[in-house]
Amino acid sequence: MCLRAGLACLVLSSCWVISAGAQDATVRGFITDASDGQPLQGVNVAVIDQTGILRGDVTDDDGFFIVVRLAPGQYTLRASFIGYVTVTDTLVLEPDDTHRVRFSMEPGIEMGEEILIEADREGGATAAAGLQTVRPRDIDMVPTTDVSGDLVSYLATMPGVVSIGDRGGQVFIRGGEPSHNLSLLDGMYLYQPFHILGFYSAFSSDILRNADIYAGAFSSKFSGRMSSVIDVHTRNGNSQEMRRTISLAPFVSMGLLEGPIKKGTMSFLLSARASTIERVATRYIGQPLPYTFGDFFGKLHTIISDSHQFSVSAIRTYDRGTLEQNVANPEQIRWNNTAYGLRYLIAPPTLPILGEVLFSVSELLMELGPVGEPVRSTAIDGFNLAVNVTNFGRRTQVDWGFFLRAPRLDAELGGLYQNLAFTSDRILSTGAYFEPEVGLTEQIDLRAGVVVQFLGDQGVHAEPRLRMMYDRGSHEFSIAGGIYRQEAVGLNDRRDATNIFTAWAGSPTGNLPRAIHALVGYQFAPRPWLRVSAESFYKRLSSLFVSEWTAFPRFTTNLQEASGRVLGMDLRIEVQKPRLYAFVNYGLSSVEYRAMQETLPVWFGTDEVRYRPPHDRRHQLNALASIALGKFDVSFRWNVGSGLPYSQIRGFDGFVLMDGPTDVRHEPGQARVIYDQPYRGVLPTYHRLDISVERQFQYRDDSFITLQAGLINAYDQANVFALDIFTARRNDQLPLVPTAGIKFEF
Amino acid sequence: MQRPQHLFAFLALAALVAGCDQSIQPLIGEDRPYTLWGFLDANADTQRVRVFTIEERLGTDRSGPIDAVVTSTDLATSEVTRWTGEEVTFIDSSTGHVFYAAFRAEFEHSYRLDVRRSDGATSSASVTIPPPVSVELVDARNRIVVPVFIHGRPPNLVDVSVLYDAVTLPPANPWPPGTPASPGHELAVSVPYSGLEEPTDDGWYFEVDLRADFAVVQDTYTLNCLSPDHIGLRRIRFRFLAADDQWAPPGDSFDPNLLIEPGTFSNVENGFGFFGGGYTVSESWVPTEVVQRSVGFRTSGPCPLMPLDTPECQVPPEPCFRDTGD
Repeated sequence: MCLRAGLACLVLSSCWVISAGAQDATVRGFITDASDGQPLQGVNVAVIDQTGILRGDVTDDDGFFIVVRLAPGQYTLRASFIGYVTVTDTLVLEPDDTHRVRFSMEPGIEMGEEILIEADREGGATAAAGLQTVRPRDIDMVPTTDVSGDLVSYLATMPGVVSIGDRGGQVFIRGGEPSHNLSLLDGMYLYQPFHILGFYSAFSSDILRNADIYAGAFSSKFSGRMSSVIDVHTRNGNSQEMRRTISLAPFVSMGLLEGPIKKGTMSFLLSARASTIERVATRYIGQPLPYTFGDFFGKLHTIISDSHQFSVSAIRTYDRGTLEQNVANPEQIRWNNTAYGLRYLIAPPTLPILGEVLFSVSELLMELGPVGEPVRSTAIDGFNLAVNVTNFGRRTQVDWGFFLRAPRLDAELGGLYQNLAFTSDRILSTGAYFEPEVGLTEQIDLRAGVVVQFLGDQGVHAEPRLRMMYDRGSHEFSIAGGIYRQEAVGLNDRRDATNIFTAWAGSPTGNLPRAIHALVGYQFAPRPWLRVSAESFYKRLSSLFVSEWTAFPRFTTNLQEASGRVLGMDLRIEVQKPRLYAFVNYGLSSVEYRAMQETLPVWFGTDEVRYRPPHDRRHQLNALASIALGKFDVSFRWNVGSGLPYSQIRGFDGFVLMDGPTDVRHEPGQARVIYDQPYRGVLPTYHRLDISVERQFQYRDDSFITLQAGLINAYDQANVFALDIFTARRNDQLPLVPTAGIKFEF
Repeated sequence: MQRPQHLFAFLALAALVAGCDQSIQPLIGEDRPYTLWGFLDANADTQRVRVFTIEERLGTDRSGPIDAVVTSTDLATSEVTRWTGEEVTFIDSSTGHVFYAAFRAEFEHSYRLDVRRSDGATSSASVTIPPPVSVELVDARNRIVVPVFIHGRPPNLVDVSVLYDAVTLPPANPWPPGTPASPGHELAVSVPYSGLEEPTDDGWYFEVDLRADFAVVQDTYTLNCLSPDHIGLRRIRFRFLAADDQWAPPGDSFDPNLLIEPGTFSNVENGFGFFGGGYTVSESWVPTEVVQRSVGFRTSGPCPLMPLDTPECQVPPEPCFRDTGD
């Protein structure tokens, strides 16, 4: 059904485009970096007719550009990009001609004025309503424990992103739970992409091309998650020459090999990272760091023709460790992600469209407890088929596509929840989306779309999405919103920060978690080197699943349904100068959950209790500066976050069930905790300064050594990671950690 | 020149924040001094109450002296009784403080229990003993459905149940001779009747359905790996607690997951827990063998049974059936 609908859509939209543009010509193509064959994103492509009238486009992350509805005639095509030699060509376009080009740009400095088609820039993550695009160079500015950066380090600098601590792999984006984030790597689902140590994820900057972080109000292309999207694209292997990268550091070491299989058209990239923290860093930090993790990534990319490209990607991650400290027999948690994916990119010779077909198979296995005898386990595996198409018009663009997913979810909860022991679900999710973007005026762009999902027993759901941008020179306004549903639920007992086991299941009550997003943004660039942006957001959440409160001092409980709302505002000031890049982010956020467990009227005298969930960080400030001092690059990052909520205790007594003529001489009773109202306490403010210094040496024409030294938690702040409220014993995050690393690229 | 100044300001700000208070106090304390559990029993000569101090550490163990003086006052006579404290060791090796006083609570009298700390902080509870009741069984020996009348109206009937003193009957003549057979085993089964009462002019009315209850008895035996096919009956007891007006849990259910929450089911002022008033009532009978057999119980007679001795369902090697009688 989807296929037929898709073909009908393709034919209709193509007919529309063709009829609208009869006799008109089109120029389209792909632009790559001549040095390594990587697609060049952000190249300004201008098509100038003989009267000097200019039309143009900016290349996307595949290096693709398209200029449609050009009158037949002679044109000058000019492609320019900072740091590359401008390419100029002359085109003669015939009626109905689709002129295909594929060329490479040579790195180099060229004096002259760049023709600016659309604001874009080198360095510094680009941001639009709810969306931030992050590139490897942005990531590498963040001080971390490794020579190479990692996307999660950059995420931690974003104002609406909260992590419970520097371990655990739990990332909350604008109030959403970690399981509400959709994490994609080349279209492959990764269900737990963040490593157990919070500085690392499956997204090393060495393999990244870019990452689109949608903190909310994301477009119709994405469905199945209700909070955010982390859409990561890896780079292709070097198609010009064989390259090797080796980095050694006390936390993680890495090796990367890439090169051409067929020069210029087919390449491969292999990467492997393995933690060394347990063997190396533990020795000089002076506290046990029982974490083992790593990942393997491989990609094969081939350019079949001017119109077709094909890539195969695979990744496997592994993590194991224990987050409990000062406990006699801490429980070990382990997880593995495995994913394989295909991507077929097509730009048909005669149609002004760009399409991609994605097929991937993903799996997550997570266990808690002894190896071979886990106390709890969960598995999610399934395939994802997606077809995404963009039809290009002169002032319009139509994104549409369809998808089919069928994840199987199994969980054995080992007493985590008393009202849920085992779950096994297969969720069939199929649907389609349609999202045109229309230029209402020269300054206003409107994207309005809808995604329709069929979710098996859950029925058919339509989720409208809207995004509007008003570009007024140095001022840019945006609004966006939409409705989002979650097809699979991640169940986690958030009463204990060290309990990161998340069971994937279908909705326990049959009610699909749902969110309504709305955001308003404003950006202002008063100077070419200065940008100020503000964005306020709102999310209404329903059918969340949280743990019930109980005075039994135990780690098992019932699940209860809750709803919530998130309100907040992000402010960002960014400075970008030739030798200085800096930003200050401030995030103000309020997350409120409303729980409605059956016992609440008896306990608290109300039908619901409103409380701050344990990830509600009200204030967060991130300051980052990367300065070129001589031949050294020095980076600072300071992060301040207000305290997270936790439940306080009034005292401990005993409970005897008086359900009859109980003889109190013989009934020992049960230990009981007299809690205060949930999450009324606040942990101390979190703050940490990280510093790194880096210098690169070139020792042959194409070989480099990079040396890095740094301090994590430079002033040795004792930040709380977890608090045992029964004993008041706290586990702190990493203390002052000196780091050093070396990276060879040859 | 500006860059070092900015850096200095930045570091100064960092140092300022670094000086913030980092202490955590998860325990905020509780003003109420005690948690009390127990009840005044009009049928008992000695009354008891368990007293928990509210501590800063987790656990039920309360060894050592307790700073508490317990008194009760008969509000009808103003007679004050001082209770004696003792440290009790429970089956789980924990210790606790149980106070007792030798007196019999009078029907329809009201009492106040006070537990006072040396600083004057007091937890107290007031209870009224319900009026006496009588139980009438109508032709109980000969009926499968037995009418039970409770004459008198206590405010609450708690833990109403019918207890079946049942046993498994071992095979009298295992076949082939010499085959090991499972021994007899005693297992009393309680069938709840709370909430099944119907009001009458002077009290309450129940119907005890032996046949329906026998299915529950069989299920219980099966769950305990005992043969459900050879159950003998020694006695049936109808019993309940006649309780005061406060002995009524929210939702009419004694759900520990609900009642454990402090304050959920409590009549203790300036404290936690529950201290009730009441007395137990019990009437027993033995149905005729005809009724027993009609219901499904086995009586005496030949018993050519096969042994129950499978790996999945091992009966513990206990001595053979003991006829304890009434």
